[in-house]
Amino acid sequence: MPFDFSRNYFDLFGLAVDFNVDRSLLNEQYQTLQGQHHPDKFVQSDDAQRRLAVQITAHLNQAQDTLKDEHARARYLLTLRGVSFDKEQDTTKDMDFLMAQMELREQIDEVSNDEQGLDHLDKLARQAKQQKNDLIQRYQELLADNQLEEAKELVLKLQFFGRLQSQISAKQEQLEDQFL
Amino acid sequence: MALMQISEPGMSTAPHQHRLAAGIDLGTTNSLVASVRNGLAEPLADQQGAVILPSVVHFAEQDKVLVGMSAQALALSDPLNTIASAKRVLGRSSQELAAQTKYLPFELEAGHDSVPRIRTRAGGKTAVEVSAQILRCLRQRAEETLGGELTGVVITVPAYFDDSQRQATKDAATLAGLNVFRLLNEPTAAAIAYGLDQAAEGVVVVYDLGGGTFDVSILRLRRGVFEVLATGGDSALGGDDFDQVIVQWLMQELKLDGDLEHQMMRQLMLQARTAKERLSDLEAVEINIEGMGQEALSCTLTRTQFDQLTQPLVKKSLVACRRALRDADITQEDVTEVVLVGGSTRVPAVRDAIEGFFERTAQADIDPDQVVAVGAAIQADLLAGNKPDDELLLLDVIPLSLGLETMGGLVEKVIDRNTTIPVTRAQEFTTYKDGQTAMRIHVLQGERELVSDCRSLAHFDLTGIPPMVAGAAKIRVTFQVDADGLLNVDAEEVNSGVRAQIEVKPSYGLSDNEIEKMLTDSIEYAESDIKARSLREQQVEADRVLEALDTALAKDGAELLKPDEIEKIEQCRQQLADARAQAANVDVIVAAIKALELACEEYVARRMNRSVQGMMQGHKIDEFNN
Repeated sequence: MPFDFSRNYFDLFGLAVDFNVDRSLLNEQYQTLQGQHHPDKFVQSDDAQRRLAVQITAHLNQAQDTLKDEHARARYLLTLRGVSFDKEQDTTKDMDFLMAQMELREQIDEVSNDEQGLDHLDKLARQAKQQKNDLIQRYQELLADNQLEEAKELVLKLQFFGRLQSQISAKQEQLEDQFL
Repeated sequence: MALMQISEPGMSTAPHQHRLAAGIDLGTTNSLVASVRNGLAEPLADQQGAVILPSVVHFAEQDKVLVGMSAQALALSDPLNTIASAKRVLGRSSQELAAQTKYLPFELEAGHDSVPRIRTRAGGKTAVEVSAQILRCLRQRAEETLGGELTGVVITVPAYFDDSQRQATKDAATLAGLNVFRLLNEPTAAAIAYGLDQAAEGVVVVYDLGGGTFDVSILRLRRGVFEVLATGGDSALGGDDFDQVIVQWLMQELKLDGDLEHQMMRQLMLQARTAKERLSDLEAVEINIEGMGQEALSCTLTRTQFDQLTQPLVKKSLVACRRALRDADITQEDVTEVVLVGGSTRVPAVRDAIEGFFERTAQADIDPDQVVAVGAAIQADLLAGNKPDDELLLLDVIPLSLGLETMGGLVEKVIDRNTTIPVTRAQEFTTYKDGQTAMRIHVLQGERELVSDCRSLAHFDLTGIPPMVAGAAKIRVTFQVDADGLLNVDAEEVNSGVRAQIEVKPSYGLSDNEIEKMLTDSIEYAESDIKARSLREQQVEADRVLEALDTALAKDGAELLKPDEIEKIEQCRQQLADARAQAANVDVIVAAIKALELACEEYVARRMNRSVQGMMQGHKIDEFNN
């Protein structure tokens, strides 16, 4: 059976098109498909088949990565409903939100270089997580109401939290390395 | 796409023909070959019954080449023609090696910038050629033992090897006449050996400290699926470094000169290694050095001293373990098993440190020197199609992020480290000048944000882009990493279909220090990176504002503005240009941009009015925008 690259990621894994994803089912389906198409199964095949195996499994990985990550999944669901994202220009214009993000970042930067600093970072991480969860909650309501432009605005905001989290992790590692 | 219609997924190998296959562990210090025979994976021995082949090649008179024990026996009498540790040079350039402070047990010829050549009596030899000699020797051993030609092999590489080191390994195999089924990460190979052996389920940490490299991989094992969650390491940390620390201590203790003859240095290294190995069982060892013309020297090294000397090295490996845990998004409590791989894990202090860190007993049931080759043999047997019903599935990751240079010397990450392979990611870019017909693509590997701090893998040009206004071209750059962890990059201008493509096969690799630095730095300098990045972003923004203003002024400044207005704008323009040129402070640039924008407010309004009027008169708005 030829592999259909055009199927949407949810269909690909036999999942309902919905923000809530059954992680264990996703994982199971992903592994089944990987098992069928992985390049390791085609080392003896001709060039074209080997290339195809790489393309299919790369596609599966991309699909899984998208569905596993909340921000990517939220964004993908909107694109399925015809919302487009222009990477260069699209960003939130909510100044209050942007200011709050800047403040959070500054706080991470200014965390003290000691054990309290680590506690402080944990607190900031929890705070960011809470804000992110609130956004996701709201996003799901908007999506259910088909208020796509408003939902898009939330997705644009969500992307800030990925960076925030990696900044917190980097700082945590930096502090921990000093204490070891 | 024609490619899609001709393929049927599924097993495509013909049944019932046992194909000869082998797994090869090409190590810095020792190499092995293993194969599955009668359902059992085991290392293959040479005629003397030895399974370990020292990774040493001796170039003798009359083009004779010796490999292994017989070569190693000549290390002291003919050091410069006896090449050891060639793996440390594999995939690296001369400049990178020159910048490296570590002692190399051979001399490099001058004048080969991209691919260093080791000076021997048989001429300059590349690390690829030396490695090929070792592989050839193992191939011969396997074919004699198994009684036929090998269909293919799986060769292991350190998980932390970058693209060019992997490519160089593959080149060496090709040179040795081997068909490479797959390059397999060493810790993953070890996990296969353990996992299949014991039908393990859960989260396994593989701590692999070899002769010259250190890897740590975290895998989730479940019903025949080996999923690598994260990998980390240091491609310049290994048993060699432990020896080196002892050598330095010896030189201090025995008051030896810093600039020693190769012969003396080799002797010190050999003595250091022996002392290290014996200290795994003894509390103290006596080291005797024959004086090379002087009197014999001797001193005593205790295990406590040794542990102190090597403590920084052990600590370094634990930092990588912690990072891998974080990348895998798990904690120590989630780990169900810790597996020790590589001869250097025999050092008691190393073992204690790991067990302390992971709070559990580490496993070394399978010989740490052999386990990687055994795992590779199992994988080779499967890939050869000898076990069509076996459900083994390996999902490995890339060790270091891949990215592209963007404006202002910044790296835009295209694929993050620890992404499952194979992976394809595309990123779109556009032209930033009107009529731009070419674009330079610069591919980088590493974790830092600035181009100068990452490792350059390749440059190539996309040419023949049809002239368009700035921003109209759509250039899609696609990265594809295959199951061997090797990268291909493809660039295409979407509207016209113009393409350029490169198999990233650089002729040099990262220096040891560089790759090691890249990861530690990305953490240490995360803060300064963010500052540097925002400064660059504002510089780019300033350039954009200045260019837009200049274009507008040239077009209709004189028409729409009075001379004193122009003068005021020019003043602010100059201030911004100065702030931009000094490049000292983000805030100053931001303020200057603001000031200029304010000064231009009226001008902008007049321009807008005019274009609206123009539109009403039936002109296209494009004629007024620039």
